[in-house]
Amino acid sequence: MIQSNSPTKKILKFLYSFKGLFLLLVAAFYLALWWIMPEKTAVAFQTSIDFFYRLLLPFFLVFCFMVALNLFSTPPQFEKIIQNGSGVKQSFFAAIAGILSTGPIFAWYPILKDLRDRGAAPSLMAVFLVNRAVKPALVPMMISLFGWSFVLLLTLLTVAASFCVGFCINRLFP
Amino acid sequence: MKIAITARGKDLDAQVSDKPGTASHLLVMDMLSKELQWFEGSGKSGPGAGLLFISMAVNENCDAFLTGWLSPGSERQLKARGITVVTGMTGKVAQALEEFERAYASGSAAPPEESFGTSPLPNIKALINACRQALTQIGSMLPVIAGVVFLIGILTTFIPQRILSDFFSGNTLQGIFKSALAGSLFTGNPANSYIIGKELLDQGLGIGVVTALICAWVMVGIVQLPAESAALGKGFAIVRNFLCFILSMVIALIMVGVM
Repeated sequence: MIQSNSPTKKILKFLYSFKGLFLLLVAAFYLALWWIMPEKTAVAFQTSIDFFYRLLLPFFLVFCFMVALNLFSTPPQFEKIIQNGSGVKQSFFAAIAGILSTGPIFAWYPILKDLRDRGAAPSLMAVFLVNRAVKPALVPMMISLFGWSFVLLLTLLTVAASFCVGFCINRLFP
Repeated sequence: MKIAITARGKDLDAQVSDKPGTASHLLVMDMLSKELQWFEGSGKSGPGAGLLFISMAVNENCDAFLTGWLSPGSERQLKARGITVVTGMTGKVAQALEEFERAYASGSAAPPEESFGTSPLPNIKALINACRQALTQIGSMLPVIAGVVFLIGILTTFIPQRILSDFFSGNTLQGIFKSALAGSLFTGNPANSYIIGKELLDQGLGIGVVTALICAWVMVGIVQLPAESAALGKGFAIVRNFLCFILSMVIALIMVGVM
């Protein structure tokens, strides 16, 4: 009988998850293509491996950034600040909170709802959500793929866009 | 006094979870009336699940939060709300609650959390925990990133560049619109969008198409729309996503003009 915490159970649980099924599907795809066109499939596989090598350094930098963020994550004062009004200061802190937030968005919805129920303005929720597009931990990866200028401009435009969305939401949902 | 404890079950015989992200339930015990409530998690493990239990404890106005291990950031957030955090808990829920009640009732000079195995070297422990958490976060991204990278290998080898260029129509508004639409339908870690975007760029597609894909991927969430509507209101969710869709195309056009 498989124990609840055994490696076998963990592997089975992973394979039945979305991530596991996705990987299995890709593997099945490769096997099917290998059956039909083995040489071209080998080229595709080698291309993928080369791409992985290019990602090693960015991932190491991502790891370092994540460690730093985990050590110095969002201060609790942000919550208190964004519960009062929707001015420039509150929007700024909502933007910082969105940038520093980690994890899947589904986990943040209950907290956002709680803040909303405690009086935080909808515009601040919008600024927070849009700024989640800015991922400090993934910046090294982006720079290595697209270059400094692209990343800098995209980040600035995303933050600016978040304030535009916040402004519009403020007008529509006062 | 209400105590929240993360567990792998919904009764007092359940084992305390080693961290909120691996718990299946949050148990809340009123120490005065001895009434026990239980709250089921999302069914998935990971930092998101942990955050859910933390917000549940806050919503229930708990006075203490007991678990095996908690990230420094989450611990700070709970303490800021006046919730006592106790880590290092193991064994059955009933036993953990008894130990906490004994330590708290004895009125010992040290705050309860210090008597439950927190390290005398918090900086090193915090660093180790932060590294562990970062490895877990990256580890959770890796399977899907690996799948995406291998799919890109197939894409670049088997699909002629001309087909992609024709579909996305270069840097025209039509191509940017199609790319933004594709990005809106996808969800998941943005790292995947960067990898796909880079490959599209290498295939000769314009910076506008790539930008629209990346922006819409993270700013717009068709898949998350029901959850966002439930949490923040249908009108808010629809308007925010629509505005973000338009702005992702505007950002793409600005990038085309500047770069």
